[in-house]
Amino acid sequence: MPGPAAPPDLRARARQSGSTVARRVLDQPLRRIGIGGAVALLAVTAAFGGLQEQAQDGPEVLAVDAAVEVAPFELTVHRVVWTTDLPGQYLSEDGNRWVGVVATVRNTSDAGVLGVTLRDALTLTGVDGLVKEPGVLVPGVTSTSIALLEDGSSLSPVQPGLTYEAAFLFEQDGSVAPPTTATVLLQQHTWRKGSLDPTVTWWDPTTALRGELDVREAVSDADEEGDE
Amino acid sequence: MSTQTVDPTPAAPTTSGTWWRRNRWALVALPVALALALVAAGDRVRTLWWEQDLRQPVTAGEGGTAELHQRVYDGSGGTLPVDVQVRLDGVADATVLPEDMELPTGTRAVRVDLTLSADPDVVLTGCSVAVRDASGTRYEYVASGWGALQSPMPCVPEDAPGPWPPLGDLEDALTDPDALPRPATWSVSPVVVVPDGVEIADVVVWWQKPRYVLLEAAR
Amino acid sequence: MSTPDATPAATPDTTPPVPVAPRVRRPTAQTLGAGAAVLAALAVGHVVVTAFPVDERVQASFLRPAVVGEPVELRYARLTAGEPAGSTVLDPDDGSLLATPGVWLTVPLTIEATGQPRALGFAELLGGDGRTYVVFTGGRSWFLPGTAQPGIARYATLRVEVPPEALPGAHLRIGLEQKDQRREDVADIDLGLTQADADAWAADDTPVLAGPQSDEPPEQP
Repeated sequence: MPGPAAPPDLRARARQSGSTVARRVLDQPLRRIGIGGAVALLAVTAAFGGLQEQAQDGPEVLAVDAAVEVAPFELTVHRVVWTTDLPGQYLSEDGNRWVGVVATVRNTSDAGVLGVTLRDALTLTGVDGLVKEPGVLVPGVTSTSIALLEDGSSLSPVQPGLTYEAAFLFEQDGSVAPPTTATVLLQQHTWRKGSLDPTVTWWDPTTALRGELDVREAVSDADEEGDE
Repeated sequence: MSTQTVDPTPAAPTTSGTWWRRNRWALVALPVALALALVAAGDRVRTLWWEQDLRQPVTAGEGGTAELHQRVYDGSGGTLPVDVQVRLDGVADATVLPEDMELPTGTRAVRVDLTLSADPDVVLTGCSVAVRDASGTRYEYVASGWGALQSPMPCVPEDAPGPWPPLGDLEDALTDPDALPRPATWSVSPVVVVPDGVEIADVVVWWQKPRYVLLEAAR
Repeated sequence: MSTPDATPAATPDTTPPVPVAPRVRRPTAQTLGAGAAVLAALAVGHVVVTAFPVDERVQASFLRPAVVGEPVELRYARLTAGEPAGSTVLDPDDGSLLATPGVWLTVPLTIEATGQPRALGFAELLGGDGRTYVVFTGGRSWFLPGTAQPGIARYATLRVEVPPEALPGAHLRIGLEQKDQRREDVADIDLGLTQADADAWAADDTPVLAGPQSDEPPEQP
């Protein structure tokens, strides 16, 4: 076992001072001081919730047609489809296509939420050639727009107590082959004050569920194109 | 207190002397610290209050000409000088309305005749014009309103507005190489819509709040 | 003047006998007392700040109650809410029709700015069900009246989609700044809606019109 870590003159002064605690501490080897310090540090974190049980180990598996709670929303992902033509939606370049995640959206909080929060709640990854870059604060690529199935309008604000059927639309480069699978990420938010702004709002999108889903061509749209 | 009053040397800290004497440096620092605390806490008074309204009038001198010298934000982190002379030639009911203007019921249109002078290289595009009544209520010039499209830059000649504030990458695309240089002195006549029965007491022109040119309307 | 000048030179000579002894200085009762006083002051300050919930009252908006058809005087404008209307289909007068899983509620508003031109930007609906329905300057639930010039009334129609159960007892709040209503006048308009209104509108699919804002009064049907 190595000797005491403290320099001899310090130990001499500790003996001189007559403090038993100081002498004992300074006589300890470095390793014990290190371990003791680490234990003390961990114990201090308990005051800030360091010993609380971890609520979640990682994202759960997302299943199709199953409603899941991702605060402040309840989302039910139905299917992932792609199409080249959607009325009222405009691709940034001809020849590109839409990858759409069709889902049921409910706002389960007691106040309306703007569409930007919903946009961060459902993102896509594992699809080549998406026109939008992955976000910095949000895992995955966020949608270009969220269109209501019934009237094609952009879903914002999302009012509480209403059930919306919507498509999260992601634009994909037309030179890349249409995807056969896509990984859908669902993020939940936390209701808190901002660090600079005292306004309370939904922050910190954190992935709660992820699922690799099959992607197929939107049949109905293709039929309509054939008719025209 | 009287025994050692004049001792300029910073003597080693001792327990001697009164409380005032021992804490003299802290006492000197206290008002400074208080002032700093107030300044630090008041940093938003300027941006959120002082610069949000017209507060510093520049009035006309002899001959009815007001001279404004101000540095305004250019929108890309720097400032631009505004050095301009403004004279009010008159405020009168507009005999000819701007094209397609339809006045709402209970309103009338007044024409504000201004003559301005400035160096041709001074950026003057971002200006606002308003008329006020005796109680200070402000009726602003609206470029696009009541069916009409007037100049978005009411203080410069429409065909020769002079230089623009820096626009970054857009600069080349938006700068008109054929634009005429702005003359040294020019006149503009923006039309302002006011409610019937409002008597115009003065005309105000500003580039950036809180400073503004205040021109009394002749009775 | 000459004596103080001499003292600094003399000081070093007197110090050597006590080089180490002052380093292990025990805290005196006075030091401990001062420390305790500082802690006590901090504790009292904390109690004062937290014990009285004044923050919310200091920052609260000045709510100006009103009912439909009655003008409400705000610091920045006089505001009058017209008769609310509703349906399951909204006609925004732009060639499209908007559906909703709930009902559309529209409220015509007349804005007369005071003092200077004002652009009202804040609106929200406090539902009779206790929930808050966001009305934004863009999107489906929408209120964007534009700038009202003093003395020239501006007419704008607010629209918001809500579940029918939010309608009875709903209050509409209108303010100046979209992001910040602290210490500012906010109109609190009781729309006077009943369960009968909610039932009728939820069963109605005749489009309710929410035209663009203007300085001319909307045509009366």
